[in-house]
Amino acid sequence: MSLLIIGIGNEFRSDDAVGLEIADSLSECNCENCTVQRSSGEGIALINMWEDFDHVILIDAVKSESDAGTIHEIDIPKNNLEPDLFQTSSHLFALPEAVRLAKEVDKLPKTMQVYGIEGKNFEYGVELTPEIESAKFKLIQILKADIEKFNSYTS
Amino acid sequence: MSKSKTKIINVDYLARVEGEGSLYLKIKNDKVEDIKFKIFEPPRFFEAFLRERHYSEAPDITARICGICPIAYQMGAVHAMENALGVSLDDDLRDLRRLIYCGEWIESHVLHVYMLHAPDFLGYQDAIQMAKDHPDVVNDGLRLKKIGNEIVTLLGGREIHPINVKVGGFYKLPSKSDFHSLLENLRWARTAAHNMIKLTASLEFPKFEQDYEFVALRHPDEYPFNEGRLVSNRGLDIDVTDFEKHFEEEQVEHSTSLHCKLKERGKYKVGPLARYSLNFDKFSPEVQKAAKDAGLKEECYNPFKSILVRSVETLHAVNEAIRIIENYKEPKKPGIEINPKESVGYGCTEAPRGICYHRYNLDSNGLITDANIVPPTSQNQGSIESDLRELIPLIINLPDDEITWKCEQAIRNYDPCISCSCHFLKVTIDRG
Repeated sequence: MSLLIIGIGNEFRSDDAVGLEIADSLSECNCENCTVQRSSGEGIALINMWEDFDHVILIDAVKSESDAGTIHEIDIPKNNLEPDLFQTSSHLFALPEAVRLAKEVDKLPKTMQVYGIEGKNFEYGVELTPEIESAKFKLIQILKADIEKFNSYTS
Repeated sequence: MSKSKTKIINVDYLARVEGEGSLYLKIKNDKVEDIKFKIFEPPRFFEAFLRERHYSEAPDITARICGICPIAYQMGAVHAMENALGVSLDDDLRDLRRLIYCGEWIESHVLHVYMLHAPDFLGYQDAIQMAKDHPDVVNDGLRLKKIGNEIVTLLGGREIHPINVKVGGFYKLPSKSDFHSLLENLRWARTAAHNMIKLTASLEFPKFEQDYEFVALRHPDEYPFNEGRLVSNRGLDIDVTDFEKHFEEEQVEHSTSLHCKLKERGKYKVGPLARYSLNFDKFSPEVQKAAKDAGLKEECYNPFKSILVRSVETLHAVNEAIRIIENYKEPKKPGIEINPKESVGYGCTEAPRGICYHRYNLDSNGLITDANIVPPTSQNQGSIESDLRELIPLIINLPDDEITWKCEQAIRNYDPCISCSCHFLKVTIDRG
């Protein structure tokens, strides 16, 4: 049994890259029993990625009224994903739709955790704003702890 | 004296299309007075990004134009660069280029048919609602798309924005054994693609034949992906290098995407219907029979049947992938050595949505001095507006929400990729 972590984003849209950068950092750690993937956030591809896993964590940049750098944590399937939170995606069928569709066709993993980092700048660019950069390091630590906890439960 | 009656329908955000676009309709006394298929996605200036970059970077940079059809851009770029630098690939490498394109066609067509367009015909708001009643259909779509992804990932190095394609070949080649499980999956996909054709053939299509000028690639030996002459059903028959002599792009006020037109005759249509109608004879007998059994003729002028034609092309892509994998012999080298020179190169390939043209000018060090990319959606905007102009009189008496839905469906016939089409904008400053 292993854990899948998917970092979602667009590396040319400033803060939208944060999910991908976290995925890259975790890949370098070679964490045990943990597969790390990058995704543009296209919904069907996400379902295809997670359908063979029982436990999945997703990381994406989000946009709401919160302060930049706020880390949102959403437990699926207990909660729904509000599409407005993920309005940064240019995809016609993105993460919230993928979760709803996967529920209908029984392709949701047993556990699914979504971490959203509140972004500030989604214009063209390759730099994270400082608040998002700080949140990135904080979330990497949270995720490493999650991986450890997962491995202690499954060992 | 009768009062004139004006109705305005504004769809601010078109649903189930890639990128951001809108539609404006003005109807006066039951006649269409104005139609604007508006694209307001920000321009993306990809041609400008390419200037001063090395020719070898073009495939990876252009792949970023689209998350749905990156291979189309990579193929356009590598073929144009190879044309500029006088390189031609041997048959084994050429086949691998066709194979990765099969993967993209499968992914793109399946996503559109099952998740975006079928709900229109079956009366559902979206694929999620459709899945409640037809989970098996949606599951088939998910599995088929995954097989397309597998092909792109195996040859492209990764699923999104693949990085293994280079000018002159590939960076790394798969071994025969790498294809083992994929081949098994493709054999399932062949049956699934036949079922996809049967499913889409059972949909109800409005009678809506249009008088299009179709433009597509045509190759003497095969259904086109990467090579061929540009032909039309009105006598166009040109080498790809002459594209800019016959086609021109112009800016329209309501779109951040340029409109491309034939200089002599104006609007034209690219994509599955054009490819199918100009190349039916290049399908295998199995695919031809499946198309005819589904009620299609050798040419198709009804844009609503594009969902059926995409299904036929999916079967072709699956069969072509099986053929290539079964005959695969690992090439001796993954790529060809290239020496840069001052040159101009042209490439045109068949993206899932239609022809995608590239031209690059290189200096003696292989740096790009000028680039021009014409994606399919910018070529189809004129046809989209023309379809709507013809459609509205037929549905004018329906309630506004149904008119809106039918118009959106008519736009989705094109599977427009708006994000792709907005990478250039001409700015004119009038200082009086």
